[in-house]
Amino acid sequence: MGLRNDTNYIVSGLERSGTSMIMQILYAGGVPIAFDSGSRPPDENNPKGYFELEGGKVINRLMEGTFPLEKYLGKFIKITSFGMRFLPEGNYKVIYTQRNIEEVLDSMEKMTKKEEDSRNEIRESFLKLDRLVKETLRNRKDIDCLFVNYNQILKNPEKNIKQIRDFIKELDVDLDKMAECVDQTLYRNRELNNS
Amino acid sequence: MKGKRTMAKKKKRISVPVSIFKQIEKLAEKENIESGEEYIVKLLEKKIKEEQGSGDEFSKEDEEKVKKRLKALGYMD
Repeated sequence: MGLRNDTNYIVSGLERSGTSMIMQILYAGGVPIAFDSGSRPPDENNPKGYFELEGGKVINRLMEGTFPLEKYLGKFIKITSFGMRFLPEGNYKVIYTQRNIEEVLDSMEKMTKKEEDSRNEIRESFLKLDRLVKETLRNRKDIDCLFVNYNQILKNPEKNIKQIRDFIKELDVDLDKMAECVDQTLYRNRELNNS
Repeated sequence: MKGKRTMAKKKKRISVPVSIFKQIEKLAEKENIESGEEYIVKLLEKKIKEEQGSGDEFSKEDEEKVKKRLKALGYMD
């Protein structure tokens, strides 16, 4: 078993909801993933890197209908929530991350280095987007989706990582290395909260 | 540090057949929702919003706000 060459594998979720952490976990476990590190290198917001393609500008290409999904069959790529609305018909397996919305917004504000004036409004808009995408993921016949939760992964990595392994049917993954990624994220979160 | 913004809501007990609740718990686990009770509350909230037509859809205005934020974060051109 393992990843299939007739399937596009996607890690998705709202931006700053833990999509990069999931990519890190998969990468550490030896799961095939595709990303280019040159266009958006690691920074203080994602010290392990963004694990993105085209500097995270995949959304624009999907909107234009020019993103070459066929090039990434059999590998995980990252497409955040907004881009999922433009996913053409295909054969997909999606890991969709969810995270406490206040943490998502905190992280966004930290990244843009400014306090959002209308946090309530932006919260509503992102929650609506999240609901819309999740509804689509549940209803599309060409998408098989596993919903995971960033906060739950940090709380119970072993259970969640095994769930991911079972979902992708990739039984040879290195569970210890995958769990190490979660430990590092936990450590980093603690450091940030203490600073 | 920002504190939690959730407030405890007053609750009312209802009864659900055990057989249905077991299925609900399975669905909740599949979607990584913490409990069967939370799953039912989410379902009911969704149904109520649908019935009320409470502007829950992702509007053009929402789309513009999200796009603006995504551009600021470097996820879009």
